[in-house]
Amino acid sequence: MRSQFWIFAEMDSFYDEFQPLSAYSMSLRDGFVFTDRAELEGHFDKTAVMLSFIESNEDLMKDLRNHIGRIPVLSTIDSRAFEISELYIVKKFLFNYSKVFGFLNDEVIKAFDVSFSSTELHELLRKDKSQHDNETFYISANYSDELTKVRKKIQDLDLEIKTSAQDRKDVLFTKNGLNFEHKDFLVIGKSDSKALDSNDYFLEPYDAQHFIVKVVNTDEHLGLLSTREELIQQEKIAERDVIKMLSETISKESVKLTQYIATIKDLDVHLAKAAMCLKFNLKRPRLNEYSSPIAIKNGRLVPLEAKCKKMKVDYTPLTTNVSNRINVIHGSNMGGKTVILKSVAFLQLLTQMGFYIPADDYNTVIFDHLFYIGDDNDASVDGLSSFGMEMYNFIESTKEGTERSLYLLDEFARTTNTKEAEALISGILNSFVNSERYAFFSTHYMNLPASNNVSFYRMKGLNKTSFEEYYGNRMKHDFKDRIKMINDFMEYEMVEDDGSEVAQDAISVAELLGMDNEIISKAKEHLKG
Amino acid sequence: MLNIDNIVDKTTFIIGHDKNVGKTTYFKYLVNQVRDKSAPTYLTIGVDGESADLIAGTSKPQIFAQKGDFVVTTEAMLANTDVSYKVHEVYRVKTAMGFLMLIEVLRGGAIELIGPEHNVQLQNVLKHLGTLGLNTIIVDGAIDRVTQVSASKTAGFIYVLKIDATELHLAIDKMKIIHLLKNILMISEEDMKDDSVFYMSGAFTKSKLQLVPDGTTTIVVDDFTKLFLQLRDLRMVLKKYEIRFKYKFEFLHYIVNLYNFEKAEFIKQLNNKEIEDFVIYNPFKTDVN
Repeated sequence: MRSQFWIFAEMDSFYDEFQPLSAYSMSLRDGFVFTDRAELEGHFDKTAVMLSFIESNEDLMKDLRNHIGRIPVLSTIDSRAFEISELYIVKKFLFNYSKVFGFLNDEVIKAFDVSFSSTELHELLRKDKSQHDNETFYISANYSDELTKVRKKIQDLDLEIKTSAQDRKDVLFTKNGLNFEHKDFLVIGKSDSKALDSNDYFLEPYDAQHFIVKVVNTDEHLGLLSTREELIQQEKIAERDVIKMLSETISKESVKLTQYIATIKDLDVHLAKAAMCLKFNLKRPRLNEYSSPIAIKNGRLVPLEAKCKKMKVDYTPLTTNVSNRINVIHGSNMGGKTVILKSVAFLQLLTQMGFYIPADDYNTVIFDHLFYIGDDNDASVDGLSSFGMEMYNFIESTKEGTERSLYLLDEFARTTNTKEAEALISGILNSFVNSERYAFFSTHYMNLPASNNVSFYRMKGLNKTSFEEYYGNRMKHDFKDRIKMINDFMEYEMVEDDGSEVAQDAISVAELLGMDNEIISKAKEHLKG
Repeated sequence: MLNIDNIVDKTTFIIGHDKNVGKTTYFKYLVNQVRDKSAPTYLTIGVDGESADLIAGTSKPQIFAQKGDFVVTTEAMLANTDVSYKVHEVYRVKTAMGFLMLIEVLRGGAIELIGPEHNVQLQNVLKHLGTLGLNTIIVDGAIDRVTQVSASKTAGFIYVLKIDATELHLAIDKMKIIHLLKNILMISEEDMKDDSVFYMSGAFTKSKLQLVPDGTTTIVVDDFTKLFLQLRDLRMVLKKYEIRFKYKFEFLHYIVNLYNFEKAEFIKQLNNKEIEDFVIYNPFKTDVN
């Protein structure tokens, strides 16, 4: 189950683009979050190497991807008796792994510590050397003299058996005209059955008027079948010996095979991540010492960008430098406060999952925990209201979290009265200032305590001059146009808030969305006092 | 007689609504016949087929595989067989008897089959067979799995029935339903856009008729397996609307295994020459000189 932070960041659709190719892909798409900066830098280094490799070897990519995609899950690497299907899987794995290894350059081999030294094992599993048999397997007679001999005997005997059976059918066809070609049995009329010799046929009732007829084999034929059965048992013993030998050889290489599995997962992940870099123009984030400021240049919330594109409205990437760990964002309704928080969530979660990010530049730090506190439709605890749920989530996060956490609080306590809500947020601000936590609050509440350690921002909001000039002459629009208009005149920009301006766009936004004129007019009168 | 060329380079499903009507027996017969024309690939659906084959009386769907056949089953089902085989693929489809795999028979013998349980699994297996150029595919249907045909968009089917006195009219109704559906046409992408066309997603049941908006002249369903109407209801619907399919499956034949029932009497009861032309009676029945 995905976290509330993940859901708030709208990560699902973008994460769907992350498509490792091997059969290990399910385990590679678990959304692992890094909390160690050095480990994450190492991860990014590998993506960088893979990106460079893709860019300079485009012609190889189709084949490379094909072979990675054909790598099966090696579920058994150490056993005294592999099954035949497992031997097939080992062979298929080694074939495709060796092909992948052959495509890589020195830089990739070094960065991913790739090795392949199982040629002998691969050759042992490749008794048939034709191209067609690279991804097939059977217990070849070439594995043992015993197997060769017994299979030859069976082959010769099968010819005798086939001839014997055909002779028998021919005789019976001549005698009774019964043609068993393609059929194990026939159905004949009850009256016809009287003409048949019980030494030649078995008869069983089919229905009240018919019999099922099967051929009675001759003693000579049964003798051949009995000999064959003995040979089959000898063959099975010889096959078991071959399987034992192959199993022991594979098991001796289990350490290497384990390493190959880890390598292929690693290559697969970074190939998929590098492909996303190219598709979405992603850049490597900069990871700084904890307590450093967060700075974003043209950060894109890709799912929202895609929605805007679909609706044919402009999307404004986020650019901001926040000097404090604790940040409060004020702003009008639909002014983009939540989008700022979502953008931070998106960029930070991608970063900590080891992805390059959709921004021209992203300076950040690594957190031990990422918390979103806000509207939580999916979660519930018996008996709690939405306010109770919000408090519960916050309390749980402070219990669970270490000091080094990122908090995104979206309109915290909005469902309670203004005075107490402001008091609660003030309390949290005070607590957070005296901790190592980072936090972004989006809120309408203006009377929060000033502090040198807290930065206040406001969204620029509606450009009223342009809006009134335009809107004064155009009253008839459908809802989609109205949304587009808000987008056109809303300035989605974070500016430092010195308290001199109070965002009062709510009435304008309600009017734009189509609220009744009389209500809007009364509201404006009320505001003027 | 069945023209065997009709199942070469095609996926043919042997289907039937009821247990113990002889589907598996006919499946084996068809596999034996097609070998003269093309190396067959065959599989069954799931594991819960007939507990006993109606005609042959065997306890499980066993088949005598021959050299050159391609078969989908599991390793466990091959453990006690005398076939020699080459593994071509191990599918990520786990059954109660292990992972499904595709084998090529190197030396013939009697084998037991187990196959994909769900349509998506079946679709993936069929897709893979196509990539290997294995195009003559025969699928042994199982009880209540008529919808399996939905898994392949280029497939034909053979419908197997057992006719006896107890359920004669029910069986004839089923044949008449198949006959009505056989003649239904596919709809084009362009025609789908017409306002008078209503696409009914999923199963078409009698109760879903109330969803059809006023002004509809054509109801579109995915394919014949989505129609769950009794003969009388289907006729009523066809009087009021045209039905079209998004995907069409070629109907090949009815295989009618008469059981304590005379052919002449069945023809009289069926009373439909058009349907009769598609019937193959008791394919195993023969006369003695």
